[in-house]
Amino acid sequence: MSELIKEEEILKEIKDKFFEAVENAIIQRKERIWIDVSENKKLEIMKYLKERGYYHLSTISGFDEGEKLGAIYHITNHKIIINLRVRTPKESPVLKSVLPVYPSATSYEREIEDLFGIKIEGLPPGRNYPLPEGFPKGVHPLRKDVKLEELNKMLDEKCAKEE
Amino acid sequence: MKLKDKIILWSRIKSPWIIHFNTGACNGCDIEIVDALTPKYDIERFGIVLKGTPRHADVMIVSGPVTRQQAKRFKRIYDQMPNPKFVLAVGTCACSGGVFDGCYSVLGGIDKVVPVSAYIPGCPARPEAIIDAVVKLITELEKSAK
Repeated sequence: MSELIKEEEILKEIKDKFFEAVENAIIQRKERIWIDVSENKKLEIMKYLKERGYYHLSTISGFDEGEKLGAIYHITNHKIIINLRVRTPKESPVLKSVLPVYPSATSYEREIEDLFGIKIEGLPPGRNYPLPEGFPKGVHPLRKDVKLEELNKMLDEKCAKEE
Repeated sequence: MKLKDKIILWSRIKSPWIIHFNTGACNGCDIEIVDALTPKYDIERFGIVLKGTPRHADVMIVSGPVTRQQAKRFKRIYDQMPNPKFVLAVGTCACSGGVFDGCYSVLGGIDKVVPVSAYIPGCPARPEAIIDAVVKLITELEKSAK
């Protein structure tokens, strides 16, 4: 696979440096790399990537796999996108904040906190970000176990009570 | 009718000032509203002027479904407009919630928050439809004065 030289190069570097923290590394296609990383080595890997020119955290997306919640950090040097997938148990979902490495991540992390209910350690306190103020606590609409009809009913009742 | 009231009504019909408000639209309808105002359709030639503040406006042109985040702010802006005030709902979303209806973050059409004078369906509503609604609103206003 001669056209994937750059991708294989950077993946090999990450694997050599953080061999114990990296799993399921896949080069999906040209310029797309997917890696499962462990939570406690996440920041170190990001710091390393940033030094290597991957200076842009494009976004963070969350996911719900049933027993585990998690986040995918899409990091890019505007050519290759490296997707770091981090998982956390659903009973006590906690992720460390990536603000020390990527200061622009505030809004993404707030979104993850609101919509998936993953506690972000080290995120400064603030109001709800995508959800409106006064949204019921403990309800995270993008989790799979949330029933839309029940949630809408609850919100409408709350709305009627306020009026 | 007193002369003073006649003059006020005349100015209101001949030159309605509008304010444009987006309650959570995808921007499709906003582009059509701008299209209606700018030289190709040019509703400004009828004396319709876009204002930046609700305190100077007679007609509020609203696009988009009302999100739960926006509802309170929208009501507040509406309350700041002087009487008599009119609301045009531009686009399917503003009329009924459209494709966003039933989402946890969306309340529904704008008639759930404020009374609406005219509904303009379409996704996005065409500038001709917006002009038609404005003309109908003005003719109704004229009729009611007689």
